[in-house]
Amino acid sequence: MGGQTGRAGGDTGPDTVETVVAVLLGTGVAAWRLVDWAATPARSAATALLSAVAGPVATGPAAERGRALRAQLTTVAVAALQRTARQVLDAVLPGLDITELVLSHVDLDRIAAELDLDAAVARVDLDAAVARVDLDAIANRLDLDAVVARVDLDAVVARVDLAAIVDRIDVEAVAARLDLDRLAADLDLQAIVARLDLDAVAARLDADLVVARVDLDAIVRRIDLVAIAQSVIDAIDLPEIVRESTGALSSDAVRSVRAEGRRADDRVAGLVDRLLRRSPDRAPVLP
Amino acid sequence: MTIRPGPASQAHTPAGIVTRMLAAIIDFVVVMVLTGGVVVAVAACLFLVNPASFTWPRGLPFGTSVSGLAIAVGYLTVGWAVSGQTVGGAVLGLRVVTRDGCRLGWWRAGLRAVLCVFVPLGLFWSAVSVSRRSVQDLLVRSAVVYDAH
Repeated sequence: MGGQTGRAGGDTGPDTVETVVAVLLGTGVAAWRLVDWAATPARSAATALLSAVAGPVATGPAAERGRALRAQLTTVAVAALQRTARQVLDAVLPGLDITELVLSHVDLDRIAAELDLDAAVARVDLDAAVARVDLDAIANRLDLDAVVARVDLDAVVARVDLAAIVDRIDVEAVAARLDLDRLAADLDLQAIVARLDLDAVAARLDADLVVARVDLDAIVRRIDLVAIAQSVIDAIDLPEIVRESTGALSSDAVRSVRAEGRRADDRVAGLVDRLLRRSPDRAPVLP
Repeated sequence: MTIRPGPASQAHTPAGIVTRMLAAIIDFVVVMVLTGGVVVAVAACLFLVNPASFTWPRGLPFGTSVSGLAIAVGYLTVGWAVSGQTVGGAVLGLRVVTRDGCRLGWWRAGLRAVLCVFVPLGLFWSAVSVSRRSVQDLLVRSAVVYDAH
């Protein structure tokens, strides 16, 4: 029982002391306000009296010396305070986690919202900053493969205005710088042709249009038809062809005449047999 | 010399009147050409002998007609005796043989040529004859057969 009473007394002790302190403070405040209220007329009267008396003195030599002394004392006090503050900070800061304090007690979002970043960036000497950066070292540390793998090239290309880029390119200047002979020499035309679907290409060709664009007259003018004809004639044994064709023709004609003659012979023989009432089935043979 | 053997049905099949007449016509043309050639040759020889003036020959032995007949007999004789064929027979695929299928001798070929030249109408008996023999064939015991290859 005594333990419980002691614990209860221990619990209520601080509350009682706080209450007493609060009452005392409240009473003190009330008394201070009462005294202040009561002293207000006297303070006003004193202030008015001092102003009236000190006005002529404020511009005098004594006032000037006082001000100078006050400025000197202020300078000395400020220097002392600064020294003291540095010593205090040197003693206190090593024991404090400034970063943790800032993160805990400073509203960084608000500070960031208040910052005028544009003005800050405008004050930055970017050229000097870039000159101090070791870009080669940064480039060596970059994993470009990973960076490229993360890039959505389709989206990038979709956002590119290719027409505008092409319009800005001086194609003639680019073509003038190309060494087409060397490029052509490096090309593996056989492999390229092997990969071409020539059938599909031919199917898509408008042969009429292609032929219509060909200047046949110019082509014919460039062809040495006489030389070609001469070479063809030299390559062909024309007399032999004429002989063979003539022989074949005459042979066919003679064969035809013989066949027709034999049929005519048979028809005449049959006619005579009928006239002479002989048997037409009897074949003429030598005895 | 024997006639080159051919298929039995063809070598021994006597030719009819139509093919034999066509062969005769061709031979007639050949004889005319030969006769003309002889006349031109004689004229050329005469021109060589007397270049001062050119005249067609008038004094051929027995006249041009007789010369033509002689040329015809000689042409037919040589053709039948040597190969059994004249130009007309070669074109129509005919050959003149004996009844045994052999080549005619010179005498029989010559006699047949004379008969053909002077009795040409004897050819028409081949249209009536059962064995398609003309009068000349009957007299010289020859035959005209198909010999086309």
